[in-house]
Amino acid sequence: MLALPALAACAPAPTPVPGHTAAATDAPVFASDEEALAAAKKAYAGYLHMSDQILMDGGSGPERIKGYASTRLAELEIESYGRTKAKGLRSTGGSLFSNMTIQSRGDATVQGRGVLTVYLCSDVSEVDFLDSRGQSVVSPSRPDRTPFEVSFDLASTDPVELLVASADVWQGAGIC
Amino acid sequence: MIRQAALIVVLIGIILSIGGPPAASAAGGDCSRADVQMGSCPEANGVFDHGGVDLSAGFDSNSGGGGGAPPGADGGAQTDENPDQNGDQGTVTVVDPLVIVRDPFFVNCAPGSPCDPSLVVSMSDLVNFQPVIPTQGMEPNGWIVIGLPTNFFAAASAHTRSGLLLGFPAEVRFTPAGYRWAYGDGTTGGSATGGASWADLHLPEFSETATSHTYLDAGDFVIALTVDYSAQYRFAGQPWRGIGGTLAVPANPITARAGTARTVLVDRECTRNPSGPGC
Repeated sequence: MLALPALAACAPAPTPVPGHTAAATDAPVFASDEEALAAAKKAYAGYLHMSDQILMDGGSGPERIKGYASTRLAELEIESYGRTKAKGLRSTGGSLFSNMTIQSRGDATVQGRGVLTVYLCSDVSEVDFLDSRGQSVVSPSRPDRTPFEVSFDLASTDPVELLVASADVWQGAGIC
Repeated sequence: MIRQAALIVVLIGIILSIGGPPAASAAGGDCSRADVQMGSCPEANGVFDHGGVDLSAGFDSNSGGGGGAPPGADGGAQTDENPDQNGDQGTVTVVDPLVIVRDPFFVNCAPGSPCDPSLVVSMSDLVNFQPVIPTQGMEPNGWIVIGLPTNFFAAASAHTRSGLLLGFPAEVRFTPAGYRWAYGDGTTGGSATGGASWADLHLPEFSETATSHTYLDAGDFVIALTVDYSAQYRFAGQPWRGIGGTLAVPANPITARAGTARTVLVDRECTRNPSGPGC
């Protein structure tokens, strides 16, 4: 017991670092869900904005989408922009989205493909689609809000940049 | 090609002013932004306005029949993230093939889906949700004085994970509910709290704490900690609901050497070995 003061003097302030810690994270690409969501929101917002822009321009300059979408998705979109142009259609108003939630993070995917998948609610309530006479060609049964399952590819890691890889209508409730 | 065909079919539909809800098909190929904006995604129409309506109707009918969540719980939770979600109530006229009758309400809800009030989620359903591995520390760090309390403490906190639960997007919130130590000398201890360092507890060193342990024998010991997490889940836009039981998650094991105070002082004097343990 006499040893106590000596011990205390010897070890003035053993700041308790929770040492020996096993790694508490599992995220080589994203430090957290929040960081992943932020990257996904930025990527998808950029994709939507550019797509809107091209459709407002009547499908002109379709290759502009390439900086925001994977090669495969860009091809699909460019094909669609071509049809829009051929029909003489153009859009007005901007697309919105909300309620983005993470479905899965695949941190160990090959070459960053499908590194992140989210659900989101696509909102086109502000968008109209017009023909050359200015008549709306929007389907009367168009849902203004549609749930989507959107996956992203990793474009770069430092900083983390994502490309929209696919956007599929998702058949579940609770997102919109 | 399929998408092109679908587009043409829908455009013809517009011209002829046919407005019937198309059959819900499995979500498959991409739907271009132009398709989304024109309403030409064949699989998108007529299937989406269910969530909010089904949820409240289901809970109402459930509590009316005895049991179920108190009305206040629903009202509060529904405001948290999707405040506009219930705006669709009363506007849905689509007759869904999945409609089931929950007298006296008609509820558009498939059994086993998030809106099903009788859905039971158990810990074994959480395979897609990995809680953060808890960590533990001790002081003195890495060594033990025989006969004096050694203080153990855990770092674990409530956190939320997102993923697919029973096939639906959901969040699961893990909350530490209990801490169990196996001290490596054949004894175990449990605590409802994770403990804290002597400094944080404003106690002198080598004080007894709620999570301290006193070793009686010399030797090397491996100290194991298991944190029991309780869990709650919620499907997108719905209130939190509890899951029975707890999930045991082991923390990092610590290896420490126990000796007498004199051994420690003679062999590991700080003036001679300033980088020694505890110095």
